[in-house]
Amino acid sequence: MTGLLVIPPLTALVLLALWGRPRLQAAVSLAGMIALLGAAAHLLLEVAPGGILVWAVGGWPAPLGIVLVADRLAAALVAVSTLVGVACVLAARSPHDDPARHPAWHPLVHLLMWGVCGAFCTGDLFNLFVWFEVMLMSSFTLIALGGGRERLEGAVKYVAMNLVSSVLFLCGCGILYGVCGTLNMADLARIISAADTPPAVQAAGGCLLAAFLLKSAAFPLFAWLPASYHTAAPATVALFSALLTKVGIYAVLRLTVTIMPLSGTLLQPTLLWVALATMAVGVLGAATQMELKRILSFHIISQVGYMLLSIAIGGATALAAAVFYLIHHILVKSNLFLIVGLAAAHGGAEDVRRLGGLRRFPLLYAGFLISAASLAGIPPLSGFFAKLATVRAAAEAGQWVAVAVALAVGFLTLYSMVKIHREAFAKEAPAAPVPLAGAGWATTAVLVLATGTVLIGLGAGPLWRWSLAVGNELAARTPYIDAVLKATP
Amino acid sequence: MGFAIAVVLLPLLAALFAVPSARLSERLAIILAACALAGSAACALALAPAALSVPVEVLLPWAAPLGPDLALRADALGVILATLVGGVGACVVVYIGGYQRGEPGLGRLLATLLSFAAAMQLLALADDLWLVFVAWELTSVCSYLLVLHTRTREALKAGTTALLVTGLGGLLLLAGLLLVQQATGVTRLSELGAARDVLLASPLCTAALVCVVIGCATKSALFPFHFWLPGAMAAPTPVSAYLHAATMVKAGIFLLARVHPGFGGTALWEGLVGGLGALTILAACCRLPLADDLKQLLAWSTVLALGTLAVLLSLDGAEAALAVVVLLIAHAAYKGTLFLTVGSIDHGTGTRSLARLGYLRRAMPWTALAGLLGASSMMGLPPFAGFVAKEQIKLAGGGWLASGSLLLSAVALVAVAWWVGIRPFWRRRADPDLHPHESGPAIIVPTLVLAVLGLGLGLGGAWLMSPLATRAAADLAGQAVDGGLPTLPTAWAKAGVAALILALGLTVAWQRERLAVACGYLPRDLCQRAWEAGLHGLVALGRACVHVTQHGDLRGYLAVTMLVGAGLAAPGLAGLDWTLAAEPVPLWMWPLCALLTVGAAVAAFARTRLAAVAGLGAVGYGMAMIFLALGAPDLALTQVLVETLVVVLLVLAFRHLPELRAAARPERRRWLHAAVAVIVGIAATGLVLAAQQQQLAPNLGNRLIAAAWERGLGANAVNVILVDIRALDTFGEITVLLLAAIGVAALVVPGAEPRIAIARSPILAAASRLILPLATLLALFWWWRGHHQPGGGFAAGLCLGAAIVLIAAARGGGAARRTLRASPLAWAGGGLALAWLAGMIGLVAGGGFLFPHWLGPLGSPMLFDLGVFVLVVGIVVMSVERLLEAEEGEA
Amino acid sequence: MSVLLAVLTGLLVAAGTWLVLQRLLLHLVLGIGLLGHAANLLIFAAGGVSESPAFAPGGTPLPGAADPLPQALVLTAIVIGFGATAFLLALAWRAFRTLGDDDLPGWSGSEPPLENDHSEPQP
Repeated sequence: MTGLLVIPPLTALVLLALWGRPRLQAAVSLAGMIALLGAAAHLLLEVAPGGILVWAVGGWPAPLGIVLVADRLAAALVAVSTLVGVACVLAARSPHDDPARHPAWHPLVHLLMWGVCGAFCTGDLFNLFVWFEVMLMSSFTLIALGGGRERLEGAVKYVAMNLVSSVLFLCGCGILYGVCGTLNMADLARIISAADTPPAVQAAGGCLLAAFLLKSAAFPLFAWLPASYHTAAPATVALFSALLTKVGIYAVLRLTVTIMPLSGTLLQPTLLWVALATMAVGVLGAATQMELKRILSFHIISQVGYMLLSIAIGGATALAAAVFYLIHHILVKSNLFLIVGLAAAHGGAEDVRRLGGLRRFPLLYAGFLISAASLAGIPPLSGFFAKLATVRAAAEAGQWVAVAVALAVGFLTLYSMVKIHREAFAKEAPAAPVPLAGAGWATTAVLVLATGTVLIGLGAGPLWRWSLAVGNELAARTPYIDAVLKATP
Repeated sequence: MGFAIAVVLLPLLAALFAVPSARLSERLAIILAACALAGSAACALALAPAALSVPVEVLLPWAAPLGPDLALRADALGVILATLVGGVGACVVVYIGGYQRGEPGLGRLLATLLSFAAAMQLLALADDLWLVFVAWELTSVCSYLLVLHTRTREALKAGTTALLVTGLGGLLLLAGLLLVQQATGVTRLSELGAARDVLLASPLCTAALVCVVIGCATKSALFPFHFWLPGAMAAPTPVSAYLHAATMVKAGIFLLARVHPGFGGTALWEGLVGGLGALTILAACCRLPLADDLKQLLAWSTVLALGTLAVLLSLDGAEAALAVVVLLIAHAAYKGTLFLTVGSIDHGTGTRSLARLGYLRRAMPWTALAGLLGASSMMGLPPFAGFVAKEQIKLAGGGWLASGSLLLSAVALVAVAWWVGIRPFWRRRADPDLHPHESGPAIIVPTLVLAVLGLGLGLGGAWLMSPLATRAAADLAGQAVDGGLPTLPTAWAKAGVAALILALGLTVAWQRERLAVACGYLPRDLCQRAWEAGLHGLVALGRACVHVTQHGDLRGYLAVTMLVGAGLAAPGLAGLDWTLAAEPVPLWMWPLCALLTVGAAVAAFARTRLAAVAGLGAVGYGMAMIFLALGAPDLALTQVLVETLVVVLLVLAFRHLPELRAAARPERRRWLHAAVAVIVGIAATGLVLAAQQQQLAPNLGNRLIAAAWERGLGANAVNVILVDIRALDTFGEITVLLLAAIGVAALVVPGAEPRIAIARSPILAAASRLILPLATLLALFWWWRGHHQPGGGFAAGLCLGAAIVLIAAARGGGAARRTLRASPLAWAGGGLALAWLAGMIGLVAGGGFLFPHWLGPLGSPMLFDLGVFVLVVGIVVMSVERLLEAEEGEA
Repeated sequence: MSVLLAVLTGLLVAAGTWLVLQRLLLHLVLGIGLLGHAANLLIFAAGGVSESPAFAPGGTPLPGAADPLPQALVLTAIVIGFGATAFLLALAWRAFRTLGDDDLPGWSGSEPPLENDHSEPQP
């Protein structure tokens, strides 16, 4: 776990020192990201059999100091995120990614990754806020890099909404400390479950939930996402799509599952309906869009709905579905953004109606077919299993409305993916697409992530059993609480 | 077991090799593909003996308990379908070799076709519920790619429609399977019959039945989803022959047959399946006379046949079951033949128009023979397979609706057979512009093979088809089939009905033009239009959603955010006890309250920029005083410095913006905004009171102060928390500052225009020289004593930063940079590096990253705090200098 | 006392909310600044207040010493808020330079209204 904490700032500092030397920067950045991936993989291997690693930073015991906790969920998310990080840094070497040429891009990306790793691993609520801020502040600059009208407009909306959500987060944090006298998540969980989630805690939880739902881009707080994502550069938005909303969802999960179970409160049905609305509105929005990145941006929202749905349903199976979905979605979504970045660069347009003939790039085409089919839930790819897990969990909970909505949303997802396929890839181009020199890096990244998608599909059985174990651990709550509180007497 | 796997695996392997082998040689690719499919069919036949007694089962683990295991079961029906898929596939592939010789993308076409065949074989043998779905979706996707192969406008549109319709059906099927699984706990199709009673007793049964049936209806082009099939004729003809006649469209019927043991015989099943089948027949009959394109005719006749199959499936009893199986086989043979015939006509004449074609038997004798054989089978003439099917259908019985629709379909089939298989060859008239020529052997041979197969199946029906078909029918009906298939002698006895059908059919065929006029009055394409309207409706709904949620005005977004925050907190707040105790308020509090209130009001309602900024500043200073009064001197110090810098930055950043003009633009929604503000404000008040009302556990205060002294070696607990106990928070926080510095550096780029000298105050310049050493001293002092007294790295950095800001203001940004001797970004980065190194001391010396180590009064937390100090100087100077210089540059 | 702080917090939140709902860029920045102040005050007030600082000169805490943790949190929040404000100002400056306007409702170029023709193109 130390590696996760130490490597990214070091890489970022070295990259800052290399300001203005793009080749060296790119090389160091890739090396740093691979080192981070190694650290993440090591952590995952360490906890994968079922342990919970707890590390009291600076040797300060749990309720006093900050603990970092790596259970299987956190370790898996960190590993997948860093894999995406490697892919994005790789893809950024392709010349179509203009803002990635900016000397600030690489350091910012590493600090973003640092924030993400920290957010996944922290066991302290306020520390989570700090990681959120690290992540957000890097993303603020990343999204605005390069300037331009649309980008800056989008960035202002993105920044403003996220700052307001940070305020909500702070308020929730403060109230919770005032009520419970601790910030440690496990300690909070212990105190709150002993008192049966009293109203003041619910109020603070509502505040925090609003903040996290905004970061996850849930209905009706998602407006920042379609306003800004499509303006960012391909590698940037691929990274964002994979990580930012997922950290929000992870926070929702930790809040509503580990810290304060919602069952019995008004917040649970609220979360369920929010999830359904998120799924539906996101996918309907996507149906109206014609530009590649806009379509995909709206799809992030609808996919977020799926994950929130599982969290809202609760219980081991549903949480396992959420875990499975998170892992699948991180890989597929970022890959799709990398692909459409390349597609737009080859075809010279963002609007699908002005694109065409991209099937002539066989590797890109293969990557697209795999990722799009996976997103649309076509078996035997990862998306199918993720969706199946979600609807089965909903069915087991007797939430047939949720099943119906999930399937209907699946249909519209198919509609959007077919739209992109037919327009950008299958139909003859209005103007022949021009092969882009140096696209090999980005294509490699695409293929790496696509392979991940296929492997998840092929290994769905073991992965699901593993997710189920994680789900059981999350739903039981006590393993996490005990591990943290016992590790630090 | 090996055979069952080979059935699926052979086409899949061949698919992998199709593209590379086509690069080498087209012929090789064709031979490879045909052999793979023929081999697949042979393997399927090899499973037949076992299928008659104990079906071969295969179970390979995959994704249970979530999804499918590779559970295959080669029962009679599965073997029949698999044989058809392999056999017809081999013929079609050979045909493609002749039909599309030399076309680009042949390898891709073959690869997709073979993948499709593999998916189809998987569907035929799949026993796991989820595996069925996997195969089902894969056939849809492969079919989509095959239809798109020609890339014409029509192909793109038709392929999309086909995929969306079948995709919707797939999701319904998934819902249906989920319901079945929930209702019974069964995950194997073969166990469905045994679980029938549980299923029918479950409240989920109706929904499950409806979902499964509708799902199957989309795939098999049953009403109201029949419209996609004629559209999909945009695919290359051999592909249509394979997918849209012989195999894929049968998948729905096949699956209905598979779930028949579970659902069959219920009133809902009979009504739904039979009703959809009858409506399909009717819809097809209304369209048939209007079609001029031979392929369209065949497509509509396929719809007709599928409707017939559905009607038969709805009927009870072994005879009906046997009729389903036999018609499934016969239809694949004769419809495949006729499609290939039409392809040959198209190839030889360049048209498929019924009106233009005629008298082809001279130029295309072999094609004519194939057409004749196919048509005869389709008409149900003895001794063809179609005849057996038709005879069996007559035995099926059923109510007047079923009988009537079956009769109608039989008559229509005769007519279509005439139009497609006889008329183009034997008609006297023809378009003189046509110059027909016979197709090559690669086209003729597979066509004839299929045609002869139809004849052979009929001739030897009793012993060739009977065992497998009767076994399949018995599985399907859940009861033994007695008597077997009708043979020639028994059937001749009932020739009366057959003759009647034949006569009626030929009359219909003869009266084509009149029927066309009559059918022309009927409304057409209703279902297709409804489907398109549905999609349009969804998009319109999406537009409405976007209009409401994504309107582009940030203020709306923020209002919603604030309201959601208040709203989610509201239920908890409502649960609290709101009787407040009156508390004494110290006197000094009142002026502070007044300061905050006035400051906030000024910020909110000021008419000038400067006043608004001053309002914010007043609030900040007020806060600092509250902190000071309430035992938080560190906070007060930091707040004062921060607020000063923020005010400076605000003035710098906004000095060139237009003046506030709220009054110039009357805001329509100001009352709404005011209401939102009040609601959110009340919620915030409630939150604070909630925290004070309910306390579940004592806070950490005293433990922290004690720990800070004992382990942290500091009297100032706040500082010890910042640099030691929660140093990770601080590490993150200074990273945020570094990030902000990078952001400022990236965003505020000084303009390229030449600077204009700004008149500067010499007094200020002189004073700034004096201030720097003083500020440095003060800063170092604060840093040093921070561990025990108010102060610390933040305050120190802000203090030195402020001094350098003063230099910048007095002597320009360049002077500030010279004072720092490095770029502010380097300072910021260096600060983070120092903090990182302080953390690494712990890692190297033991205890882990950020573990404190002390050497007398010096300790790693002090170094950490020094990093904070340096970094804060960097960010302060960076932001001020950039905003100052950029403006100067712009001026 | 604590009720008074609660009311003050509500007041600041209301003023901040009002400001972020105004048209101009400066209002947005000021509003977010006020909301930040409000959040700090909220943490401070919710953590319980005391008039003596959280010091332990010589190892003995001052009698009735305040809880140092909310203070540390607020300090962190103040500094993060400063960073955010500095960045927001830089962004606002750049956005204003690029867009030439500080009227927020007019900033909808990144989300143009949907086209009127049906979005399903005929291939």
